[in-house]
Amino acid sequence: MGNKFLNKFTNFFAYKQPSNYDFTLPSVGSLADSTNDNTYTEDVLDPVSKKINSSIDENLNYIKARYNSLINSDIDIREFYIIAMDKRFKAFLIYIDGMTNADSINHFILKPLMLRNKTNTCQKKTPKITQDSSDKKEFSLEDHISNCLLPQNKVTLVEDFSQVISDINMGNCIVFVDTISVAYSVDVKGFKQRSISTPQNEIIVRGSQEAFVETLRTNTSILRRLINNENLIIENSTVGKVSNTKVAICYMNNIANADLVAEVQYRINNIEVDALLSSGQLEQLIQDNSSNMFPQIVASERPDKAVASLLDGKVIVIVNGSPYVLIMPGILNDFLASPEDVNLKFQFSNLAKIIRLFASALALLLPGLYVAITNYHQELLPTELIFAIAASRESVPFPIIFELLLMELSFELLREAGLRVPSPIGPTMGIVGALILGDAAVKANIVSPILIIIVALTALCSFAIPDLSLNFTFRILRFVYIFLGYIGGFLGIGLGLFILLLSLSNLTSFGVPYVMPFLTNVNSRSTSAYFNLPIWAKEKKPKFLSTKKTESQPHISMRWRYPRNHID
Amino acid sequence: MDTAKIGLFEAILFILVVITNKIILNLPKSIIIDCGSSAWINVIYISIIAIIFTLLIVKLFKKFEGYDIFDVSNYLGGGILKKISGIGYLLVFILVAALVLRDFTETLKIIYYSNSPLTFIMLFFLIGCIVGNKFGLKAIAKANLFIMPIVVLSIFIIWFSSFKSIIPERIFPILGNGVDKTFVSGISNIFSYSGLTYLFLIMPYLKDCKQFKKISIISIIISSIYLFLSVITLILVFPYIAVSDEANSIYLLTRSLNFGRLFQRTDALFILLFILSCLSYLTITLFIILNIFKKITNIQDSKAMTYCFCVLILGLALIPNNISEIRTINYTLFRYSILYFIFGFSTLILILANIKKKREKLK
Repeated sequence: MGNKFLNKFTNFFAYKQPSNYDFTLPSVGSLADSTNDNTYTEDVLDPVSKKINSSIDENLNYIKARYNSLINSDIDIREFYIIAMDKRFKAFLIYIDGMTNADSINHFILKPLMLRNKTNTCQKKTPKITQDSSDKKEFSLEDHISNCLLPQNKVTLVEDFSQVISDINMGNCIVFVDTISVAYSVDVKGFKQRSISTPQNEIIVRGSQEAFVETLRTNTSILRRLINNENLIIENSTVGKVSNTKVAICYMNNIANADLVAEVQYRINNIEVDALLSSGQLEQLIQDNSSNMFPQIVASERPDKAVASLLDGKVIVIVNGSPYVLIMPGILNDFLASPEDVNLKFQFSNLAKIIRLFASALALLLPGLYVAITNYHQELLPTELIFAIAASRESVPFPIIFELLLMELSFELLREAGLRVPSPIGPTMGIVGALILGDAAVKANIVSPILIIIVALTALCSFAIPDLSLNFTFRILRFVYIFLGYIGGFLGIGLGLFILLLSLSNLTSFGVPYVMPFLTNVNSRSTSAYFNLPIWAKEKKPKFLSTKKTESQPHISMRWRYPRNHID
Repeated sequence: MDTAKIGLFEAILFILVVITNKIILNLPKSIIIDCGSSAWINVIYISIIAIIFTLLIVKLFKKFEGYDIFDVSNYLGGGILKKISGIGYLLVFILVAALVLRDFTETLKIIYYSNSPLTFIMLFFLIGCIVGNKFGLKAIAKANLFIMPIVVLSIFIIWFSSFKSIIPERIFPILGNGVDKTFVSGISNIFSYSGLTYLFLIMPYLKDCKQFKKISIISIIISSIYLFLSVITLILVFPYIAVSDEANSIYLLTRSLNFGRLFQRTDALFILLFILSCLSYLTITLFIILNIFKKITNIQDSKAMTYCFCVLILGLALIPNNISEIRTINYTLFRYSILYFIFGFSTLILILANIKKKREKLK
């Protein structure tokens, strides 16, 4: 025990090598020189990359072994004979029951392959579709099946088992045919999924009422619908050696900084975990500083917010199975912004932003300041208020710090319990909290009424913070400030603020300084400023993202107002 | 190794933090004690000298872009001169840190923490310094960029809120304690611009060395205006300040402020800002100390020495017996060490290095 403490003490003061990993976003000018070494290698994802054999029995045995088909109840393997060029070939197909559409398999795979029809009984060996005589090819069974016998919109030829397994897991049906060393991956996905619904946690009044769902492809289709532009790139990747979770990296090819995109790809492609079950897990795996409590990547369930970020030059990552997409880089400003801001006139949204900023400061500092003022700096309060506080505390036997911690912990308990209780008894929690913890505690002289006001005001302010992760951070830091205020008054609070500022100043998200728009590098008329500009004035992309395209819109966006002045 | 660089605003506020803390720590009062009601003339006088001196430094550094005084010393006299100037600077900065720490801690103890031990109050500042230096230059500069504008603004608020107490007649007699005190012996008040020391060291940390001239001139002009306003406000509001026992003259101004019945005593809020300013100043000073140490010893990463220097500063700060001893050291030892070492020795090195450069060019 003693040695353990001594080691920890020594380690605390011991010299530690500074971390070598330091990614900074280069400026636009240096983009031309940048090279991307972070290329995706399939071997990293699946070291066992076995090729498909031309012997169907060998393939069948391998697949059965990989999928434990004798034990796995939902793995369906159907063996049959296909007829091609009037000859019979042994074949089998494999799919996961429940993830595929049975009708599609029956009508558009098995029927054309198994039953005799004009196509599969045709004897001509050379297709007549070529225009140039030099293009004449030998008959190929591989092409014939793909081109004539599988009437499906999406058929992919795969050559190795890693891809086969990945496709099966995603809901495709794979067809193996004897004598050919490729398999046909047919897209017949047909699993049940949640339909697009309204956002649960990012509720707004005037904006879109559409939210992301758990299915990756549905989410990418929402993005495609909102950005009708070919420059939207959606790259796929896989994370998790066991779960093989599909992850889509989305960005605007003509806007996003190439180095930022490469860095996102590099981090995602270099994750060695068994399973990735949610975007929250991925967020923790790719953020710059994992020890810092402040969120560094924005998580959103709102497609409009994601699209706005894409158009600013940020990168979006969608994780299959998670209705929250990740937006990177995330700076402090993003966590204090509400999706509603863009839908309101700039005067309204700025008022809301001022209130939010004020609320954030109070949520963080109010209890700490209360302790500091009542213990050390009483003269700051008006005399009448001091008397009122003293009178209200007259019958309370505990010190202020005890009172405050008791109420804060009770409130945290109430909040945590409120999340767990079933919704029908949710209002009961409010009654229990308000009556028992508030009124009863005051009547029992456990806490003073002024403290209830402080705790309630802090709670209200914390609910005004739009981001859940930032809210959590402030909840933890609030206790730190209470402690600092208790031991040092404003000196303690000052130290806490100073360390907080240092920590925020030191933090980066994908090479972008966390506090950027609050300090330098703010271009006027940018979409990145803390306070909203009128929509016609948002002419520039955020400078700190070093985007390929720097303009959001021309100087005169409302041409109808200045028809003679506009310059094309 | 911390390879971060700072920009224009960060560098200006790096220098401005020195004058701000000097103002908070009773510098205006010491000038008023020296010169009486002519202190404002003295400030104008020393400000002109400081600006001329700044222009001279800028001119002398022109041929040594990206160099600090230690690199110039190395160029002029090799490793030995580099080490001599390094040790000199190191001692000056350790002395500065210890004096500021003790002075501010004593002020806080008098005002709010009469029951707390001095070491306990000092630990708050030292923890801030240690954490700041663990984060590195970029974080320190940015935190300073957050803090300084608020602190500067708060001091402006103090001045403007004191307008109602101003009596213009208090400016008389114009020449205060006499021409000699104002212009001859008063020249030693140039130590107020000890922030100029940073000009000798800041070049390697700049993103763009070509902005050195801009940084130097802007920061010295803002410092001058700032010092002038604080001195003139104090003269016009508290003519008795020179003979009073008040520990902190700016704090005295904050005590006199009230905003209606609601806020009758807002001084604690200003103290919070002064604490932030002092934390920032001490962190910057410790950063400079660590980097000087790194330069003269060629160690790879000086962050390991953070605790050692903090303990040294704490020990040194605890040596004086009381606040009056601190003030005496401040106005004698510190004043003349700045005058002779920074303004004399460093400028001499720069002049000689320029001559050497010129000769080499001729050869």
